[in-house]
Amino acid sequence: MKKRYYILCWIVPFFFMSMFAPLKSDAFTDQVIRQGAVGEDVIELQARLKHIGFYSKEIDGVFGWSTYWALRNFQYEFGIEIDGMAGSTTKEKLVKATKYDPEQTKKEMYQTTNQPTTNKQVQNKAEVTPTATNVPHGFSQNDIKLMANAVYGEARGEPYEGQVAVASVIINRVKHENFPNTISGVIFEPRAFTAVADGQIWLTPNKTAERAVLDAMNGWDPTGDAIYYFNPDTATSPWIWSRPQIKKIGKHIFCE
Amino acid sequence: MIRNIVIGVLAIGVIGLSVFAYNSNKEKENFLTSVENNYQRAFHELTYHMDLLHDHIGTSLAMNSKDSLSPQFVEIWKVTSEAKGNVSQLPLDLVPVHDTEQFLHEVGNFTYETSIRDLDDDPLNKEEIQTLEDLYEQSAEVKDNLRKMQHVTLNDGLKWVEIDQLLADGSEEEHEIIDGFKAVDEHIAKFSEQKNPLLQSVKNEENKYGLLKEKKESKESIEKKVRQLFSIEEDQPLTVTKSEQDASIQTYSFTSELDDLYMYVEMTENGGYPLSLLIDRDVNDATISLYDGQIKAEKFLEDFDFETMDLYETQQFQDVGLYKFVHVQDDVRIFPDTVSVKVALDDGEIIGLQAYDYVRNHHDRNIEKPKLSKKEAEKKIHENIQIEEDNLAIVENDRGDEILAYEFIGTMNNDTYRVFIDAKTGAEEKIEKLSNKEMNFDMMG
Repeated sequence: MKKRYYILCWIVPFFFMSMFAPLKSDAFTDQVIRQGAVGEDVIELQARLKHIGFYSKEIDGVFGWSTYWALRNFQYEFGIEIDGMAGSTTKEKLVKATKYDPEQTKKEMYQTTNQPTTNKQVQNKAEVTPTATNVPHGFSQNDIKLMANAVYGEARGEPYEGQVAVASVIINRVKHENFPNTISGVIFEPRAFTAVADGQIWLTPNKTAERAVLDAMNGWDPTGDAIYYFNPDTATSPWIWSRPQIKKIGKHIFCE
Repeated sequence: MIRNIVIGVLAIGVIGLSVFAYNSNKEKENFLTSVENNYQRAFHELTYHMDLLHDHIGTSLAMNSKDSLSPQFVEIWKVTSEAKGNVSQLPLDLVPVHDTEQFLHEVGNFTYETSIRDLDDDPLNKEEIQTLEDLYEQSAEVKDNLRKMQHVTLNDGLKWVEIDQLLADGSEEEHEIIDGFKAVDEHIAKFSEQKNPLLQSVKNEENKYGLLKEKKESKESIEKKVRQLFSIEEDQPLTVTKSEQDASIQTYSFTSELDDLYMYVEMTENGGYPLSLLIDRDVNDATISLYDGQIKAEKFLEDFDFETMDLYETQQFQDVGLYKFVHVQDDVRIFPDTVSVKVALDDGEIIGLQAYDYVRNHHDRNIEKPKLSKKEAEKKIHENIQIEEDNLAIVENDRGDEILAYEFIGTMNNDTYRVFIDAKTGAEEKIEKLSNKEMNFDMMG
């Protein structure tokens, strides 16, 4: 509680300052900003909350939990309905109470992440780009890349759900007790995937493969919990035919 | 003169070619040797680990003091995990090592469960000691078989790359190593036939298949439903596939290709519920906000007759919004009943639905009153966590039983955590660190 009064002491002078300062024209767009959002509005929101002392983490343009709590505290202190979303009332109060300098924020953002200013994405001066990104729970962007490679190598000719299915098999194996516990462990298990054995995994994947991987990581599983699949036209092992079959998708049969 | 020049040129050509051939052959050999060495290491380590496993189990049988027993079980658990790692590095393809892996998993699981138990209060009982004795015997057989194979491979100079080659060609030719592994696996399969309940992790499936108890519907009626739900015209062709016989949920999958999008819908045969929807298309720059997408997603769930759903997690991936909903009954969040919806933020179209958990688990629950008050439950949480939000919730525990719990969301050192406290016993049922974002590596120079 004490801390909050302390914050109030800071806020009051800002109020007076903002009464005289001309309103900036480049304030928020008119969207309601909610948790999970990414973009310039989020950068502005974080910068403003940081300016007024509610937000202490790095400004990265991704509305995560820290931003959420900061916004709720702001709403509490300013007597706005506490919903953790930046709607018109909240944004109005924020704009009144704080300052936002895109140039300064940009400088700060790229400094903290050690980014050279020559970066192609930063060259466009008018635009401030997020320095972070949302990822499915428990995965890294690099896992997505690696899996997209595997899916593209294994199933690029398959229908979309067939590509999601191959990604699902990889994830189901990671969870399964009889397989390695990491994505790379499953993918690089010798002879587990033909595309890994013949090097097709190192082709450059397309957007479709990446989307399929993201869907699988977010819980879509067209295979019905399969841990094996095979192409009946080319399968050489009689053993694979003995597995209980769940589904046929495109050229592949998926089994337990 | 000309003849000599020609001979000279040809001679240089021949020498050059043979140098080239020699070099590339040498390179290939070096490469094969390094691959072979990796396989050899994995195999020899495996035999060593199996030996060690057997010894450790034996030692644990001879141990009397509880203080040394728990660390010993941890040691066994570690060795099983290392042996599993070795197996996964061998080029065994589908030569069934399934049972070997299963065996290692069961041993590891059993010893792990025992090692985290307070053996002073709850010492090993007769069945558990019997189980250990059985495992001791079984591991002896496995290790002896592997050691014999190791002896043969070393004596005869057998190569793993040869197996790799054999399996790649799909030849039916016999190979001693493959036969050896098959024999090991068959041995193990024999023990696992005498199922020991202590080694199986049994999950409670009683409450499963909530909506799947309803009666089967015909393919035609489900197709009609799909056309109606997703407003697909009669003349638009739909391809239908039925799931295979061993699927735990019998479904019909429908696919359809329109000009610029591809649609996949999966419906359950029992009750005709939508299990999954995927629309694959290019999504243009977002014109609506994540919040507007939420309204679309909520409307969609309402239209689809999903009962009272609460949004509990949202993420924006480029220009797509992902919304995770949980079912709410009597103000209690039912975490086994979740649904995810994907919305394209360029025009607000629903491009994905995923309701596996909802369909599998949803039923009307008889929710008891919590035994602990919220205040009492709060005391069970780490004192440094500052609680920000709370709910009553139903969650599944490790055994697959549904329990009533308090869900607390709180912060500690700038991180956010979700903690479930059993509302009956006060046990800390589950703790998750909530973090789904990562520094964008593409932004780095």
